[in-house]
Amino acid sequence: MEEETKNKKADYSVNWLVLWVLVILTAGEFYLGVASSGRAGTFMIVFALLKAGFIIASYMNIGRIFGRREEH
Amino acid sequence: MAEHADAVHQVSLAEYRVKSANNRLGLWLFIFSDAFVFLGLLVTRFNLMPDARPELDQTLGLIVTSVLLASSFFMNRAEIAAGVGDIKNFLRNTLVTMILGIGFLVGVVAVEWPAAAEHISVSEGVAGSVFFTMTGFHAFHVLTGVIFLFIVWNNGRKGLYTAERHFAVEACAIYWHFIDVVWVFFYPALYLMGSAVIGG
Repeated sequence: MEEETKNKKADYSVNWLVLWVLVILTAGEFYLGVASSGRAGTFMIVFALLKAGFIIASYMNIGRIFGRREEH
Repeated sequence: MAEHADAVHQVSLAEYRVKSANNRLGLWLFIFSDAFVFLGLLVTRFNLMPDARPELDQTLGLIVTSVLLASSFFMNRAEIAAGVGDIKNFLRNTLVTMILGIGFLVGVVAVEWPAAAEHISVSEGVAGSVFFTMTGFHAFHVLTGVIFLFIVWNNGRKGLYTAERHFAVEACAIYWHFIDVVWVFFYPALYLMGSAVIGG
C-alpha cells in the first residue's frame, strides 16, 4: 500500500514534469517560428522530436512492451 | 452489466496479464503502421511546399495545440488514477480529456477551416490540398479517439475497471497520446515552417 502510494506520487510528478517540458518547448517553437519567419526549420524539428520523445517515453510508457513495470 | 463485470473478473490475473501483454504489442504494431500514413503526409507536405506553408492564423494554431497537449496531460492522469483503482479521479480526468478533444476538433474544423478557406482552397494550388488533407485525416483520428474515450469512460462508470484490470484504459491512453504525437509534428509543419503563401 505504501509502495503503491509512492508509485502514484512519482507518476503524478512525471505527469507534471512532462507538461512543463511540453509547455516550454511549444512556447520556444512558436517564438522561433514567428521570430524567424519560418526559417528556423531545423530547430523546430529538433523541438518536435524532443516533445514526441517525452510523450512516447513518459505518457505512452513504451517501456511496457518490453515488460518494464507491467502493472501499477 | 453486473454479469459482464463478473465474467471479466473470472479470468485469472496471470491470464489477464498475458493477454494484456499480447494486446499491448498488437496495439503498438497498429500505432507504428498508422504512423507511416502520417509520415507520408508530412513527406508530401515538404515535397510539394519545401520553403512555404499555408497562410494560417498562427495564434489559433498555438491555441489548438495547447488544448491537445493539455488533453494528453489529463489522459495520463486518468490512466494513473485507473492504475491505483481511483475510479472517481479516472472518470473526472477522462471527461476533461474528452471535452478538450472536442474543443480541439471545434477549433480546427469549425474555426480554422472556414478561416483558412478565405486564403486557400483544395482546388487552387497545393497549399489547400496539403492543409485540408493533413488536418482532416488527423481530425478523423481525434474523432475516433473521442468515441474511444467515451466508451472507456462509460465502462468505467459501470465499474468494469479495477487497479489490476484496466488494459482498455491503457489502450485508449496510448491511442490518444499517439494523436498528440502526430500533431506535435503537424503543428510546426503547417503553422510555423516556411513563409506563408496565399492561394498557393
